[in-house]
Amino acid sequence: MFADIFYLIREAVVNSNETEATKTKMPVTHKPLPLLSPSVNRTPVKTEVAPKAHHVENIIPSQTTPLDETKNIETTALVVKEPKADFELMPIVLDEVRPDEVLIEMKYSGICTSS
Amino acid sequence: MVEFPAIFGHEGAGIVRSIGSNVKDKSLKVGDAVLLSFTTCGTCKPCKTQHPAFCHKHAVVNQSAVRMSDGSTPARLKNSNKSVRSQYFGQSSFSKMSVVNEKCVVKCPNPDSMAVYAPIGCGFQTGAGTILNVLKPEVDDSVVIFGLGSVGLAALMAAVQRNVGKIIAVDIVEERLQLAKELGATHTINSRQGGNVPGAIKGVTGGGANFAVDCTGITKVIEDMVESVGPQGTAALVGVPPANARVKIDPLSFLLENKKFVGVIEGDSNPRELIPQLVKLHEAGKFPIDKLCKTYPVAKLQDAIHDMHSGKVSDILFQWYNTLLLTDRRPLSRLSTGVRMVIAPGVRLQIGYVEDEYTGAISDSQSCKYSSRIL
Repeated sequence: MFADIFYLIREAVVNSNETEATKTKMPVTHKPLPLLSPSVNRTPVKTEVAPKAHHVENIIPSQTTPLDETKNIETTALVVKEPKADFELMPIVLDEVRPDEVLIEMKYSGICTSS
Repeated sequence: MVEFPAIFGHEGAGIVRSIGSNVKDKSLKVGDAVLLSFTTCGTCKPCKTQHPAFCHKHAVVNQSAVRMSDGSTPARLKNSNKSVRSQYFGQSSFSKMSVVNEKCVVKCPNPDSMAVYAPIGCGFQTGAGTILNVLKPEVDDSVVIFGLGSVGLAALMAAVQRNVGKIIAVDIVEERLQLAKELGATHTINSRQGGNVPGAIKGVTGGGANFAVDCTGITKVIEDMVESVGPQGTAALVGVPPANARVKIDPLSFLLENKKFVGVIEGDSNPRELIPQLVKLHEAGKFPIDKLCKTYPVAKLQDAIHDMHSGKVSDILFQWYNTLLLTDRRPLSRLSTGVRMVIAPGVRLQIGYVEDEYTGAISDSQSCKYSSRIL
């Protein structure tokens, strides 16, 4: 269901000429997860979107284009709040990519029981 | 060692989206497919002599889940700005995007098979590395492998690749023993069926094995392993035991038989060398790790759950935001942190922690309920 809501929001953004101001009036409780920081002015990207595109990342035309912003990157992660707690999927922000670091978009994660 | 809240995950596979200005590997490009492995301190003697797996600070550097330089963590919760530890093993791969230490990054030689290669960063590398780098059994040797999870099966495949004469696989789940036979084990022992496991091994090998690997971390198994190696044999401890556990050995026979007992982290692997080597073996058909992975579409989640409980399926490898669920063949019950898992956004899969008793029952009394939840 989350995916459905998300898809609807995406479609609405792409198909209209909404500005930042009108976007905030949309009566939805879930904001899309922007990849770039909110301060960057985002105009709707009119790229070809496959019918089942749910993710913000698919908006970017080419995967070989580096991110414009490497600070305050918004994403989601499975967070464990305390020992023995469940994994919970929640939005997080990554502060920056330092000179000795690399930003990776995860495709697969194995679960190894040694942890 | 890690503090909470934290993001785990140490077998990641993904695409490079941004590269820090001082990253030493200049051949890395945005858009490259990479596999993620462990990180190291970089300054101790093993780090400097091509044995990064033996870094003296391996536990601290990988488990603390913070940047080594200043103890900071890249992540914070969006809603509360609360700090979340997020460089577990330098990577914290249970995150859609992660800021990863450059040392963890290994280029993936075959991006199309990235799903199958994700566990190379830890599990497969550990098992195969122990055989290929540390034990190096020969054709006329005998090897016993205790515990047939991804680590044990990777060790098995590596031993088969070296044409080792006798490869004895020990486990309690019949299906895994069958798989071991398919992969090339010469003998299998189901230790749940009681009986004297070291005795059986000594019978098969004529006095004791030359090499043995424990991939379970269970104290009784470790003791059996030391017991089952023969004169001048080496017992390698690879599985992670619980903290404060103790094992007992018979020191007199240990001495009289000139045995060795070694701990091996991550198969003494240098990821940038071993990972491409294992991928090449896989492409040559000699490291069939796809046999350990099974794909389930989300519609068949119920089947996946059922297979997990019956021991057919084990490690879960999940694909971010897609509807595929890949699984491996080791019981999920070995999770030592006792966590329950959210497998895919919107679907919550709860599998309780199951106590592992070597002799005993894998309790499948844990309920497995799942419900959809709006996130």
